[in-house]
Amino acid sequence: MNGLLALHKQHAKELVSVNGIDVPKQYSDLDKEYSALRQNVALSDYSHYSKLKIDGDEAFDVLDLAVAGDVAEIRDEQTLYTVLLDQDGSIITDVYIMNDDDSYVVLSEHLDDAALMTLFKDRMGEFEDVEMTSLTQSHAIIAMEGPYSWELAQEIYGMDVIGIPFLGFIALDDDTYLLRAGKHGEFSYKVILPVEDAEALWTEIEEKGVRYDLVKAGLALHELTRLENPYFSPTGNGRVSRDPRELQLQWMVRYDKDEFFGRERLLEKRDEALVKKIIGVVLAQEGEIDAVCAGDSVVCGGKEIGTLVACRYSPSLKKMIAQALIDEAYAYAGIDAYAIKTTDGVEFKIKTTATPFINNYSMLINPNENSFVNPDKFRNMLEQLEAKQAEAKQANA
Amino acid sequence: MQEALKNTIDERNAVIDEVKKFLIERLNLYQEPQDTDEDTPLFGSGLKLDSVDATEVVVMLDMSFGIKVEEGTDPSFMRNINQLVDFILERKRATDAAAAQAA
Repeated sequence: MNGLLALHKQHAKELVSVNGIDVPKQYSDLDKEYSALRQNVALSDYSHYSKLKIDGDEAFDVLDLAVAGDVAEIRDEQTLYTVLLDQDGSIITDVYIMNDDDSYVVLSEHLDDAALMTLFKDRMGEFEDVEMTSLTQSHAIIAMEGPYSWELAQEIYGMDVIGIPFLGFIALDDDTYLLRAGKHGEFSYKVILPVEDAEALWTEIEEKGVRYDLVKAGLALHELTRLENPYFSPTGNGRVSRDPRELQLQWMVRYDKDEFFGRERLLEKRDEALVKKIIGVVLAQEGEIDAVCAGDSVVCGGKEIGTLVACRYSPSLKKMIAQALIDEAYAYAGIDAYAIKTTDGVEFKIKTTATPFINNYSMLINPNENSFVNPDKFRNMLEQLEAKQAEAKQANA
Repeated sequence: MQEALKNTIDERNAVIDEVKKFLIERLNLYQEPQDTDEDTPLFGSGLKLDSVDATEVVVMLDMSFGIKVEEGTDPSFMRNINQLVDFILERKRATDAAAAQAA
């Protein structure tokens, strides 16, 4: 057992095995973990991600053939977030592809190491000059996430952190990276590093994180955060559809790429009329409502027009939110003419909405001007603007 | 489908079409309108727009819809096409309501 896992076993409330790797499912209290992620900083262990290094003169060709996104788009120290499709053009999993000087690191949280490697090997076609090395067991992923995670990461890794764009990364050492990527709408920094160094880094972040009210978090938290900021999820929206059009995930595929696995069928489906589409819905009334759950019907004037896919209470909105698979003719945001009908026949009014459901706090923070720990700086741009307006008002008085 | 609902959807659809047309033609995007989902992020990983494109969107709001974006406006209306369309429709309804009151 590695040192980081030993720490988790000692302190985490519950562990879970994902892709054969044990990671915290919940560290302490879910509400505290949620609040830290949405308001300041959460510390998580994402070592369960399968990590595959792909080298060789034909590494690009294999990857570009295997995934639906355009690998040519990413230069050194850039990352592509895309999907792997099956022959039917349906999503198998989402993946990150990091370009480290034309050597690539693939990260996937929904496929285990063996399945991911088999999938790429099956898609090698005539390409031979490719070497695949698993980093899954040898490397951990520690994540600092939340509106002020950039500031904590900067304390550890220096000023360069602020310059990392979304989906950018810096190579810290051989096979050791600091990647800015997340699936919840807040600032997020993942450190991919050798397992033997993980315990020391976790402890350092925990110690330095005290000033940021850092909270250790587990994976269970993201069943909610990824509904608030929807991404592909095999246990959420992926249960009812794997079609990029139905899931509103066409931005993850490049139809104009000459060749990729699943393209032919995807293009055929693209020419067919779209029957259903996933959209966001918010219940009109406030509060947590246990009676509403996935599988309930969405109705309009007594007619069933869709089904709830995933449903949870959003502490940020103080309302129930859901994704629903709706008949295409009705699948528009901004409509308040529909209702959820539970299995008991009770109806709850809803409004369809754009997703993400929430305005992430990170959007209000400018790392060059705001700070969580520096009292001379404003916490966010809103406070900054209000102070500026008050100052102007005073000057005019 | 009820007439009122159909009208609401038609009104929204017309704005969606115009916004998509602008984004694709003016910003030289490779996507076709039917490939651009309404919840696609405009910045970051989705359509990958940048700050220059954001300025173009503000100009488009003024030129195509007569909407001026004041300093300090919450920028979240530019997060995706749906939110941009919500913003346009809200402003349009506010303008129509003010005009009706003045008449």
